[in-house]
Amino acid sequence: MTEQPAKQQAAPAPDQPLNAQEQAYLGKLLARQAAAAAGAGAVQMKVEGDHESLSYGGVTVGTEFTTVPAALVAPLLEAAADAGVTITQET
Amino acid sequence: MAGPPLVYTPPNYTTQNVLYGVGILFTAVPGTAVPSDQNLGVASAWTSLGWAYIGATEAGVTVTFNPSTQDITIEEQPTPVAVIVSTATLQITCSLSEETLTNVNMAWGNGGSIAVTPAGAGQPGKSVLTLSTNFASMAAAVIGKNQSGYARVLSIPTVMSAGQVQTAYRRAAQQRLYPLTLNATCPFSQISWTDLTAVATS
Repeated sequence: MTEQPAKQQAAPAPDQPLNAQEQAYLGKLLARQAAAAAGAGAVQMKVEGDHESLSYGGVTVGTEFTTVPAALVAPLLEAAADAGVTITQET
Repeated sequence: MAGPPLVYTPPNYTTQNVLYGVGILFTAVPGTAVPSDQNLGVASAWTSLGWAYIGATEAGVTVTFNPSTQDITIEEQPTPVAVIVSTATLQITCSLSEETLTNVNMAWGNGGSIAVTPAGAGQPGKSVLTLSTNFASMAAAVIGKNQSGYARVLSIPTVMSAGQVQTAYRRAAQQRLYPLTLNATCPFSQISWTDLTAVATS
């Protein structure tokens, strides 16, 4: 996406509220920041042993290495332990 | 001598803006990209990016925006001088008609895991849903058709499934249903409606 911030004629005063265009752009920036944060620290995982896959939080880890978002790594490992599934993490 | 005639001319309304039709609910891991504008109305574009379709519902998808407000009043005036939003919730609700372990898990907080064991010698194939109260966040999108016949998408970056789920096992009265309640947990500034209005010029 090549969107640019709202065009401004002059630097607005600090106490001037955001207009609708600026608010929309800020929302997209925050969403992008959240997406980037979710992607940072992602790791590769796969299941081993008798199991074919393990699904948690919308992510399915199969017998081939699968990317797991950072936010789901710890809860997925916990879920695997609860379910008795062996998970291997790529180092 | 009479003045000019008094005329009553109400405004026209636009029947094409009266919309109906089912909403299509997709969920995904938070941070999952939405399809390009060109493909917002293409189901396979969503699923290829990792979005999951919830499947059939009993009575469609309902979106509920519910702000609660606080009146600021003064003695000198009977009406409030301002109305401030104190809390606001946005919910997507529906009753899931497809009883899959994925849907059961989603309705029950999306905190469980599903372990799949393939069939082997002496081992039937099976899927086991192990429940948990560590509810996981999701992204959600509701897609409907707008007055131009194109996609209109409500996108919510993070929601959590938290609602009472009661499922009746009946012989013939109805299918087994799983009420799903998704509560938005992100700032309202991250929630968006995207409306496709015209085809690209090239």
